[in-house]
Amino acid sequence: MTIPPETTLHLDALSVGYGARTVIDSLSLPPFRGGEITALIGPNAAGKTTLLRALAGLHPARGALRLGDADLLRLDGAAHAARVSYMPQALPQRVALTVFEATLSALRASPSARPDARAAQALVGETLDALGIGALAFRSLDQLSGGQRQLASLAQSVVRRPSVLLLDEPTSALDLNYQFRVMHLVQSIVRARGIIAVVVLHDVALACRWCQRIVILSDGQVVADGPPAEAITPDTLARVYSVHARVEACSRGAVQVMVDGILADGPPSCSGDVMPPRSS
Amino acid sequence: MSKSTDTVDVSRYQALFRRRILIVLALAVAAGAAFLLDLATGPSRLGLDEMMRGLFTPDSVSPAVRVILWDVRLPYAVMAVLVGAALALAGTEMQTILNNALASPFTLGVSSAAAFGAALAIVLGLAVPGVTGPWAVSANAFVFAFGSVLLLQVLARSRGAGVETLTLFGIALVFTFNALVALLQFVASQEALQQLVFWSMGSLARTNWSKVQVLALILAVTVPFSLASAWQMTALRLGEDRARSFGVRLQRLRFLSLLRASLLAATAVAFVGTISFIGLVGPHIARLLVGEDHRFLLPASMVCGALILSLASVASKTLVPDVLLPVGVVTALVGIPFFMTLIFLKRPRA
Repeated sequence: MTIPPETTLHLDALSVGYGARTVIDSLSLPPFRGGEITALIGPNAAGKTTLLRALAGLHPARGALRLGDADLLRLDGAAHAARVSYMPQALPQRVALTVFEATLSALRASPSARPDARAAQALVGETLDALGIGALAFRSLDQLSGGQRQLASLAQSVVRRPSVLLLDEPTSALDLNYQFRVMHLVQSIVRARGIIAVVVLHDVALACRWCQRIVILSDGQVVADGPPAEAITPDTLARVYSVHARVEACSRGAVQVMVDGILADGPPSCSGDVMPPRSS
Repeated sequence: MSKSTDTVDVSRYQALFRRRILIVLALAVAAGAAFLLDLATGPSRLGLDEMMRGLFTPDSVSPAVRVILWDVRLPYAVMAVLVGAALALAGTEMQTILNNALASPFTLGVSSAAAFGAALAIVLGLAVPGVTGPWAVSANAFVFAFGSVLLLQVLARSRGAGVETLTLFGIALVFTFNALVALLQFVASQEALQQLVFWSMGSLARTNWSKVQVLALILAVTVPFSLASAWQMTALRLGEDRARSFGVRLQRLRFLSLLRASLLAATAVAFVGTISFIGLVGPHIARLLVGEDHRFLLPASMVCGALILSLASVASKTLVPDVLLPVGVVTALVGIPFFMTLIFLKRPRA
């Protein structure tokens, strides 16, 4: 399903928790827009994955979460799954399914809008071709490298033509080549289909390189939200990660982050030269 | 970005699809042959030819042959097929739902609970109200086996219970019921002890047509629902979150799947006693042959289970001349060489 570009994902006063413990408390954000990749970054236990799982309908939440006219918090699992696709961080181990079969199951297991067998097979073929992993189609998942499995996992997410694509650390444990491949493919698909993409990342440089918007979370609260150049500043990095960092523009204009030391109660803990941000 | 020029040839998937259907059919033919061999084997030395004549033209054989065929060999052979299929199907569903390759009716306490139920009837004479005679032991075994899986279900539906907790709970059930059975064995009379030990070895010798009909009915009711859940179970192999994000209603799938597995395993164990091997290894053999697309895995598991138990039944009648060994004892002896051969023939996985 390709959504019209004016469709947005609205998140207002959203609260998520585990039992009595609230992780995200009444979080409101400007709408997420189609064709854009938003990075959710922040330190460990900031609530990034919890928020992403709540957006995916995998974790109960209170508040308002609307995709266009659809109230995602009121939709049943199948209707939610028809609109939102979630790629978990953990990839399954020792699964005796080929890449083609696994991708096909993403289409056929969904109780909503299940295409017929031939159409589903054709769609799987197109998707694997589009991701450049046609050569892996008939290889078993447990024979793939980590990067190849990540691409296979991405195929399972995008084959369903979601309106919203949620990716939980899609580049973790990948080498530089596969980090680039995965993010490039995500960008291509998001732009081509006008998808709303929200990606949890730990790598600030990747977030700056590939995402049009960065939301920095800490303790379930938004510390910064905006384009990379606005959200990523030495001040926000110091507040969120307790690091002393330089933020500079590279020769191509992209935001670059260099960490010079760790802050302990304010001052840097390492004695390296601390450079002020260079004005570009 | 470098991009592979290989494009997906969908006809290769269709060829793979056909190949898997052929494997399932080949297994079914093998199971059919094993069934006939089982039918042709027995201490009365009546061969397949006589059995076939008795089957299709009963008037052409003597009354004694008819009795041997219709009251002994045929129900035993059919029961071997049904029990093998039921235990393997139950094992496959449990392994998928619990994401645990070691899950089976035996390892999750179903067989141990059944043995305790049987022990209560055999040693203490305690039976389900209204059930007497030869059905008392089976009824007790069924009630306890089914009850043990219902306990697992309660845990599965309680908040925060993951598959690891369920598996650990199942293992705890195994040890608990084994201890209770040992306690009953300790206080049992010599005759009751002998009867209980024989029951727990698993035997087709307590089969009759009524039991065959009950198990066939339960298979006929559960198998269509299993097959209807094949895609959801395949998706579940990609992870719980993944399956839920596809729209699979995981709690419902898990509840209904465990319900089916418990019905199948409890009934099978109640009628023939403990046969531990089929539910664990039948699914693994099928997985090695057809992969984990459950549209093929579920039927292949059933056929593998039927094949192994039929061959085990033949072995139980032929290993020691003129002695009918308990089939539960020889099941592993027959299945393990087959299983190990498959493991070594298959190329190693990354």
